[in-house]
Amino acid sequence: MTWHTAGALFRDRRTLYALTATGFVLSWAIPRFGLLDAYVQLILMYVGINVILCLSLNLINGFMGEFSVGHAGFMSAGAYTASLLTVRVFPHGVAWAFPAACLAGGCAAALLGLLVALPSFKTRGDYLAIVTLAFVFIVKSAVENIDAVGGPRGFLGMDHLTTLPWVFAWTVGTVFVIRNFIYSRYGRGVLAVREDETAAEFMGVDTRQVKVLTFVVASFFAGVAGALFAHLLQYISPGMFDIVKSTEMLVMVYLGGVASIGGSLLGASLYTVLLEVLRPLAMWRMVLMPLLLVLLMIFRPRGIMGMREFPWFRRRPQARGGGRAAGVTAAAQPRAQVPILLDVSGLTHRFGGLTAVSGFGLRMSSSDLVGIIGPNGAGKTTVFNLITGAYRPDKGRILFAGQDITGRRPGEINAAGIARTFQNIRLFKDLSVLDNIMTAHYARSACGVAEALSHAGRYRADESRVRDHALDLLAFFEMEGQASACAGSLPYGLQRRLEIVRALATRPRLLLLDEPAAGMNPLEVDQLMEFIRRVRAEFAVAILLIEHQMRLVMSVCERVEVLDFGTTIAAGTPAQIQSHPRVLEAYLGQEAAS
Amino acid sequence: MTYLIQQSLNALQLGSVYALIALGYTMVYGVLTMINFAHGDFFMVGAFLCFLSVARLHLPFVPTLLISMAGVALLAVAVEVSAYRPLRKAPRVSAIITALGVGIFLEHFTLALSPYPLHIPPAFENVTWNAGGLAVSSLQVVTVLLSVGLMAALQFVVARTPLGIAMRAVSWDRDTASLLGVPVNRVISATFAIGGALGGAAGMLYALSYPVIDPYMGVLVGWKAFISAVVGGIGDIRGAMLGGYILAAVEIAVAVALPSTYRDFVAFSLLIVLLIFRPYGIFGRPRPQKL
Amino acid sequence: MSAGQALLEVRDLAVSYGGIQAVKGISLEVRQGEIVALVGANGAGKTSTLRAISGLLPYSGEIRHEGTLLRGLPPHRIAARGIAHVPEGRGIFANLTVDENLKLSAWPCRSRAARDRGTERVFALFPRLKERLGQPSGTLSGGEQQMLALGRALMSGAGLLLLDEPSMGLSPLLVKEILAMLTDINRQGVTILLVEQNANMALRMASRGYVFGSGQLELSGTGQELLGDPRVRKAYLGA
Repeated sequence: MTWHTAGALFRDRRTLYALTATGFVLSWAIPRFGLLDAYVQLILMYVGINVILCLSLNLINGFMGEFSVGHAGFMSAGAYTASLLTVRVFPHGVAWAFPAACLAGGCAAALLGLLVALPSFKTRGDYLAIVTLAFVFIVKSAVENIDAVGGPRGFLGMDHLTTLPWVFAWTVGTVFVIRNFIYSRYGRGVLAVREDETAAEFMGVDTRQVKVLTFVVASFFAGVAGALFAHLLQYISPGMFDIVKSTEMLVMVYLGGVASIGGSLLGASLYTVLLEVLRPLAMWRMVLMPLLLVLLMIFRPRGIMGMREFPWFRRRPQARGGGRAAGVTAAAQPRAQVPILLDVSGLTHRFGGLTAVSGFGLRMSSSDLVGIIGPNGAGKTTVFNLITGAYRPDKGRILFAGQDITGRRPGEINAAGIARTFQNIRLFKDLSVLDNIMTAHYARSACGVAEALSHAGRYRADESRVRDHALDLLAFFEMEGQASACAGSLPYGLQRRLEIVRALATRPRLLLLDEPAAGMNPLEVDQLMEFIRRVRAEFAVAILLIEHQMRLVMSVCERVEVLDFGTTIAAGTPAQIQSHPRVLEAYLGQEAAS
Repeated sequence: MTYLIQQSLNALQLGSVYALIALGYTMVYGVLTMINFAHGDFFMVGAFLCFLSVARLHLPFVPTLLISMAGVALLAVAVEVSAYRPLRKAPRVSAIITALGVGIFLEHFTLALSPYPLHIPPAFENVTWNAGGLAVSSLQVVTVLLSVGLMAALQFVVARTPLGIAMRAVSWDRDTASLLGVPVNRVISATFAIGGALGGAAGMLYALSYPVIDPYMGVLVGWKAFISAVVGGIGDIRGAMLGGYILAAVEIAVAVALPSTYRDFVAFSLLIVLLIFRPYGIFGRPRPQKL
Repeated sequence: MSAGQALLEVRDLAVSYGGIQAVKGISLEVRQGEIVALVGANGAGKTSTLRAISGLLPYSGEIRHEGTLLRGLPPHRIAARGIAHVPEGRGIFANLTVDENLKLSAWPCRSRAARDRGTERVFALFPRLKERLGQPSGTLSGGEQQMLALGRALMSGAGLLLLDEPSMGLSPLLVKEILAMLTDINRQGVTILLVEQNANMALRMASRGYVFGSGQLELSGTGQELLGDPRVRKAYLGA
């Protein structure tokens, strides 16, 4: 067999199916006919359990980019729940007892996962790490104080119910479900939270929903792994599920690679097997392992397979669904017109002692194209942040299409019909161009949780509708060719443009562009001007833009507002503004006016 | 009443150790916004250096203290330069994982050298004074006074000396500090050295108070000290000190009122409750986010 | 230093970061005792140029200070050569007092005498800072913060000041005041390289100026020449 055919086999999904089927047969045959000695079988089962743990932790820490150390707690909950059921509740010797106990263990852990997800709404990174850390100690301490499960002495009496076929089945099931989850609307939300949580929220991703789901799914499988572990060892104690256990899982995740299913398979297998192989080194193996990890972090900070995927687990290349979608432009999606789209009055915002915006007012109709200019620090971006809900104004009111949106959350404001771009491009840089656009469809996707986890029901229809719409949008702006490129790898001008297209994908009625021409060369600025005009005409959106490149402002905007010290100092047509004495003063300095 | 005072003394003793360790976490977080998860193991190394000095070299208290402090300071700088510095521009998580890795390495390296728990003989004659039912040992007095002294010294360094000013400047804005001629890398190393020295002192005091030591002792105590830093507001030096004493007081109070096995449960639950109401701790404040 | 040699010489400087080429091959020089203004619209590459000079950004091309190549020197070594950079937004350490801000920049001074000389000089220039020594610098007004930033830069006895938008966020009256101070400082023998959006203000006080547009130099000349040049106005307002 040549390398070429080997490569082809590696890419072909049927190989995976064949391997899985073979795996099932082997997992049954090995213990049945004693093909491998008991010790090797035990290691294989540990590999499977560790794969489940590693992959489910990777969902939170790798795919979602949070830093949770709580997995030992989830595992403990699953292990104890399942063990209690098989020993005390379920009749012994019945076939359904063990799978039911595993499921129950998973559910118990998922319930805890729900609890842990709540603090993650407000805090990120370090503080989530602290909360989950405390969680591990709390679970351990709680179990130690329950005499019914043996307290600190531990719990035993479980039958040896964990067998190779069960471990294999649960491992395959975990890979299947988590992969499905990642390649669904929620999975795109998970990745968006990792890439840029703030931007995700502004694009209509319900980040709270995404976090809750991710924690629930991940902790469920950690609970299942705990159940399997308990019925393999036939003895559990609270001390087994301490922070050291969590650390071990973290090592597997970051060894194999973050945000990679293949990486988790590799990391868990490598870690488990390596520990066994290095057994002759006795104590020194645990000296060697962390050293390897440190070296790995220095030379490959994201792990061996970090952010990459085995071909088998990649998303299936998707063909466009049935014909063109209905169309992406306004003509295809008419909307009721309102006379005044945006009505901002008396808007004031302070940072500490500094009043960044003071008494700002602005009215826009549904077809306006308005520019905001002003020197650095004049409060322009703060106005955008107030309108889109990033900040809550100290005073003032924002009406949008007759609705009071003052102080709402960014997601709600996006749903009301306002989308924005950012001064420093905030694309989901490690995601493809197409995924960037599809993520912005989050709020209008019909796919439910069960459908996302199983890829059944409406999943396919919904996915292809969203994908087609995203592709049409890209095609409309002649960016279809870049659909599978990584957003961060696009040339700068194209990234700016993609950010606008992504905002359009949320179907806004008002588009806020924060310095769209920043860093562009004159040619790119020319193209951008054309682009903005086209967006306005074809998508029937009102546009409000902040810009320093006067050439752009003067040629595309119909009205210009000049901001200085947080208030409008002048407003009018571009021509009026260019010769306005206060504008010259604000820009060029005092003497320019005289 | 005497019982209460007695328990307060115990809390003061334990809190001193927590506070000293918490300072190491908080100082490193202050300058690098990095959680140095290996710090609990620095503390453990301090305890083992204490064993080496007292049991093997038969040195008295003061040289032992110096050995523990200097040894751990050196270790902290070596770890910073070799493991953390290359990752300064890498994703933050890589640095955290590296710190966990360094911690596991230190635990097991120590374990490989010394597989059994060690018993430390007293470094000086421990006298216990009894007065009105109250028992105060000289060890308790030394622990509390020395810790308070070290914290006062740290407070002086941070508040008054050029190094302290530079440390605070680096924690506010590394780039601008370098523009003013502050050698940022050296300041960061110095921060690790000071944090390490305090951790070393804590290790020694802990080992003398609770004289059976093992390589995993840094895990639980370290995490708890970390929690103390968080309670006070991580990055804030006064917060770390206060947090250490608060946590110790809570733990001792729980041990008095409930079966002692509830200690961790209550302490960590309180932490979560605190974080819900004050997500940045007692003294911590969030930096505004820029869009 | 020979008479004809520039204090600071930048040749073919190109800077890129985050996928943007911010500076695309510019050359400029600053001679002893000059005030040189870099003007141009936002995002034209002025700030990146300053940051490259002080070693904060990697670059291609050559930057020489008193004839020595600066490449590879860390920022604090460049500062120790007598190049003081006041960054955009002033870079005040709001968590330090005024006094501590000043002490911090005396780091490169080895001798106490040098430090005292620096302090005296700063107080002579900015008497208001002396009144506020113990105050947390975050509570200073914008103008006072700018004075602190300038004073801090002068503490170490730097011979070359790099100033990034000293007028930003200040009222016209304060801008005038700061401008007068800069002229004063310059008369005391400090060379100044000034980045400004406020072009007229900068060019009026500058001996020479360079006009930036999209990472390239569009114009250069003496301050007076550029002041009257309509192309400067065009670079800003596009008309």
